[in-house]
Amino acid sequence: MGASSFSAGRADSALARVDARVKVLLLLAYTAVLFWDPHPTVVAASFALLALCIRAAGLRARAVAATAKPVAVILAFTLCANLVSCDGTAPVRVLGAVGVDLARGARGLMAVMRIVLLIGFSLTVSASTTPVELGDAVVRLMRPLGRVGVPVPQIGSMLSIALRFIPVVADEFQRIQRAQRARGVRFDEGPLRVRIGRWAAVLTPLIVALFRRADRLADSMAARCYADGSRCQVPSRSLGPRDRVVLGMGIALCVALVLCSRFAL
Amino acid sequence: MIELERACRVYADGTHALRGLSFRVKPGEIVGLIGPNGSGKSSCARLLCAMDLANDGRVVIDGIDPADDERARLAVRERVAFVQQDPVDQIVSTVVFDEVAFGPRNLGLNESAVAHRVTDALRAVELSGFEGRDVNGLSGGEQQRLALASALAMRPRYVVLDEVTSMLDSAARPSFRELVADLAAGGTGVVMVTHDVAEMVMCDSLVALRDGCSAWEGDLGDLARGDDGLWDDCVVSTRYSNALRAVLRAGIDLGACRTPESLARALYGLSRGSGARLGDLVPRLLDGCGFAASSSSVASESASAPRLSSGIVARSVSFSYDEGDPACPTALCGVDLEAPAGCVTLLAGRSGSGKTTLAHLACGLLAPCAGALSIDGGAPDPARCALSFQRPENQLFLDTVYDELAFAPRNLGWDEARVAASVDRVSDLLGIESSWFERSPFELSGGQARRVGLGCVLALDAPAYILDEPTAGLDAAGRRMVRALARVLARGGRAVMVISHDLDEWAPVTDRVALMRDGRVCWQGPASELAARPGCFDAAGIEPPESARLVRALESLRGGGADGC
Repeated sequence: MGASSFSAGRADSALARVDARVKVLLLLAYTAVLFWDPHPTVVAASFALLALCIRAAGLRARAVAATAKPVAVILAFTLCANLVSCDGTAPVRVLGAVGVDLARGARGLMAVMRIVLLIGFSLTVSASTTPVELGDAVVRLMRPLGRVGVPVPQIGSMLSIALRFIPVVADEFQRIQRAQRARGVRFDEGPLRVRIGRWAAVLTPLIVALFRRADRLADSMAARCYADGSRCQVPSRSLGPRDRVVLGMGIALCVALVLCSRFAL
Repeated sequence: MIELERACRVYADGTHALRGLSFRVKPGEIVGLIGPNGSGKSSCARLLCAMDLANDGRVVIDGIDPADDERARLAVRERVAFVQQDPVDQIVSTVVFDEVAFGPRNLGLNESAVAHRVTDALRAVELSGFEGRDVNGLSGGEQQRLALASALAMRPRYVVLDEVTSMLDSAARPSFRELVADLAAGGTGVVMVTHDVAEMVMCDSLVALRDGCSAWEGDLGDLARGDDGLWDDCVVSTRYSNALRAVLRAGIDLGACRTPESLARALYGLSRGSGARLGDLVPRLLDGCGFAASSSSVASESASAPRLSSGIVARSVSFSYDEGDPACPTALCGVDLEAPAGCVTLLAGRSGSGKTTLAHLACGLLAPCAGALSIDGGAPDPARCALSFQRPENQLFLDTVYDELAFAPRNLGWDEARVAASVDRVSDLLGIESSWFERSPFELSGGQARRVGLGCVLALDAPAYILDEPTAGLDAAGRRMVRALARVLARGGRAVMVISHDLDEWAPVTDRVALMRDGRVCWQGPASELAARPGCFDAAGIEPPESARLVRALESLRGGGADGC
């Protein structure tokens, strides 16, 4: 069985007790703040806030490091690409046309910091929320859109099935990859083009298997009288006093951060 | 009542899946659908619960014909529940409560009625208290119970079960069968598609299909007494099934031998009361307390087989999928295991006991955290230890059958002449016809694709082979073919390790058995000693197979001077 990122956090953590809708809304609000051209002071303060959230989610340092690992290389590359110039326009020449542009490097650093913050806050939300809570939260938040014809129950069903099958698909992918290794395929050898071709070969049985699964799942749903207009109900639930307080404080903080950036405090 | 009258089903490509099938199912009755792969059993199951409609003839459920309109179709689906083979493919939701509530919510019931149905259904399958559990955290047996609960929450009058126990381990199967028997006792009509003789014994009547037609109808006693080869087409030969057939042929009523223990009493009584053929059967069954019906012949064959390798050897092997995380459970813990060359070794145990992980380590797909494995004296490598995954036909992806068979040898860098020789060798071994070579593997029937899937791995010509559940989903003939293949490989001096839930099925061709539980080998030794150690099944957390129960009951009857035979 595949493990979700929820297993990285603690189910009894302070953040896990907050309603998922509040966490999703605050994540969206904070994302908007980050794209509002934040002042470096705001970015620095955000890291302190992130450290608090990681602690409140009961996340282990090891889990945070494991999540950061795959993107660290891309972020380092992004930073270098901004810092180093090869067209001879860099103010600080190093070798021939190659030079260093500190101003662009600083801009790159800010972009990287914002991405790291976004990943960090997303991780705290996913680590403190079960997939079911997340799915229900999205359906509840979208419910008003039902009045303008958005098929919210169907979207809820799709989301539920997608969340249900993410670990199944991951397991299937791993099984096919291992089955091909058992037939002598070396995924870690040969030129890049050949290696990409080998990975692509995993997709054929994966897609065939997924279509078969989809057929059987559709049968299982139809056998239980699922048809157009069938309902995927998520019972209504109002926010508790604590969730309202957290939401209010979170939004106030986001506004404060925007104001800080605006007036460069 | 479910009534099929000359029902025909033709698929879009013109294939006739069913050709005029007729039978009836009453409430409270268990009807078994049996027959070879491709005979139309699953197509029939889909007609019964209105997943498909008959192209000709009629299917009527309690007077409702699903062909009338969409409303009739939904009414039939509410009355006839459908449970399929793989529980993973039937679960829609991420939480147990929502999963069981899915059907009742589709019926438009209010939340309190839904909750009531969920509670009742979970209680019926003994999953009360599981409401808030994540479905991905359930075992295979629990997931299949959940699938049944989801069907029962519709409050159906009939249940169609399509090989529902085939993916369950031997610990989960007996309790699932009890659930089915309880359902029928409560008045629900049950239609069971099955290859398992232990399930056929439960059935009030059997319908044998062949080429989409009803080849025969009756109970298991009638099937056993027939001489038209239908028994061999439908029933896998094991020590238990052979004994059952002998007793039924001797005229004993099926009701008197539904369990291995009652079968033993019937058998013992018959053997004492007559000097007929049956008289020989009891001594043969008890021969050296052997678990394998032909243990002596298998043993002598293994002794004379050439030893092409030193086999598979594991020494103090431990493994965890996340070594650095103390919360991650240890998949294997200090495993010592030997699968000698020239022998068939059966590796059995409950789902999640570590069998497949051990197989992946033996082939070098994973590296042990501690300990060491050696294959033919060398390090684990796919070329030394070839592994056939479960349902190997699902791994086919190339344009032609030939390319599939040649794929592994080509990856080893063999020249085309050697590749061709390897393809010819496995084709002979598995009965793959050269006319299939240019066909797409996706055009093959289930049995043909399984042969090609196995051939893809055998083409490696390795000194050791591991076959993971190689007979899953196959009919009796297919199972015989795979069992014979394992013996042929062992006779050729290879180490063959078979991973299977079904000890009974593999007992006749097995030299050694290793039982695993919670990542440890809890017993290993010659197959002939297994039945003499009744505690080893308990230690492995599995139910003793029917043959072992039969042998034990016969021994106690012989030792205790059987009375009441």
